[in-house]
Amino acid sequence: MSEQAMFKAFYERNIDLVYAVAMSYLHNAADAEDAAADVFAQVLEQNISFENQQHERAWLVTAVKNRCKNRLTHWSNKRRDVEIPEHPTPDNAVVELRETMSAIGRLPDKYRLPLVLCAIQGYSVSETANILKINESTVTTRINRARTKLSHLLEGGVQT
Amino acid sequence: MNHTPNNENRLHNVKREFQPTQAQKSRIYEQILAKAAQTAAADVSDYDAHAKASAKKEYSTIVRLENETKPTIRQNITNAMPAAACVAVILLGVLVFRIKPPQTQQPVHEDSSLTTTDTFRETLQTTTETVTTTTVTSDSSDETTAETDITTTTFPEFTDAADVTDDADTTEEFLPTEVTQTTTTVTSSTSTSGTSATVHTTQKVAATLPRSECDLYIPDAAAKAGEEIVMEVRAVHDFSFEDIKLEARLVSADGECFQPVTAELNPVYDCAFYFLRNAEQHSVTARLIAAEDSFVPQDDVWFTLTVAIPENAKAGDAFSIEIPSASSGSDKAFAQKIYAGSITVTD
Repeated sequence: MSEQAMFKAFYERNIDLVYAVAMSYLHNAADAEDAAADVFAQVLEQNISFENQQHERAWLVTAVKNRCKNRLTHWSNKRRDVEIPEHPTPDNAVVELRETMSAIGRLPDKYRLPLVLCAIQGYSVSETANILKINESTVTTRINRARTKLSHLLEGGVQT
Repeated sequence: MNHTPNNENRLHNVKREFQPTQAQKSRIYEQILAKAAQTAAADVSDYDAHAKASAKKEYSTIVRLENETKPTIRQNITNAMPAAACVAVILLGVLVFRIKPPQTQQPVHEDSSLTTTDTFRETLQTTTETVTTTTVTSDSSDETTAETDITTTTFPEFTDAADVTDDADTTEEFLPTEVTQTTTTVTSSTSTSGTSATVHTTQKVAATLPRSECDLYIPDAAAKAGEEIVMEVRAVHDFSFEDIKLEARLVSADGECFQPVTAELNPVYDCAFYFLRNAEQHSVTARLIAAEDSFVPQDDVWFTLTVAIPENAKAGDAFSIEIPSASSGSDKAFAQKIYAGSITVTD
């Protein structure tokens, strides 16, 4: 398998994960695309090698997380609203979606990532624990707390 | 806990927002390839630019030194003239005194009843640090009694070199790393903001030097006297679950040390990053410790180093940033290849 083909396979394997993490921080498709592209480009440029898929995912999640935080600290990104692309759905559904995205964005990092990986991306508790380098019990606790906080935020009304 | 079905539905509905479409995936992939190609080209051109800038800076330094040295030598000669004249007069006086006929000296009469005791000392200092004092007593008669008193003084022995080294090791906090100083200026973008007297200039490093060239990169900068510069410093290392220690100080061309004002890690990292000030050595030590259940990536770490250019600095003066120590983990040196830039004072 050529290097390009290997990279393509690596990209296909991980793009969903990287994009989801980027989206959970940036709430904006264009910014999330940029952040994801930056991280993959870094792997390509620096020819970073990984021990296994677990290491690969852990590295990517941390790298994209820090990249997103870097972007968010930039003044131009600080007051950006949640962007929801156009959908053929009724208006109230769009509003609801916007609220949910905003509420997820308001969760602290340590609750947001387990929720996104486990509840949204479909990774198992064990996989999430490996990616985030935390115990499985911690993942479960954080997901539960994330859900509780999310409920409070959604019921209390989230300003978008 | 109130995980209502409605909220669960919302969570389910939001899933697709976190899923890139096929079009987005293709777009991101193209973007990656474009970025990679762009960086590869930039690395080559930046390296060339860096080499050119180095050569230019070296040439300008030589020209400046030549210009500064010429009038200094002339001035030194002019200043030394009166002193040289005084020395010549004194030497002449001494010579005249020594050439005087010996009639002024008291002749020694062999039959005199006087007893003359001449004591002279001869001090011999050899590598064994022995001092010998000889006293000779002479009588007026032909009978001469010579008494020699030899005193040997022993100086304390020097401490064993190995002991000194051991002591030095215990006082050193970090493993010393080879200090690399360069006086190369890389053309860097400078943005100035603020209206107060203190102007903050941020030097963004970008990729002025290829990543493979150094482990620790502190950019070159240009600043005015009294100005405070915030520099972004790049450290390349596998920082996973490790702490780094970094010592940095600002040094003028004549070796005077100035304390960097502050240094702080890019706040996005979930790490405690603090600095230990060493007032005696005018240095700041940066220490990065991964916080609980978080880790810094196996990636470049950026942090800022703030230095203040002294008020009395003149245009053309050069300061350098010294990194006496940079270590990681169990005090192993993480930065073998250090690029510590210089700061040139401008008008």
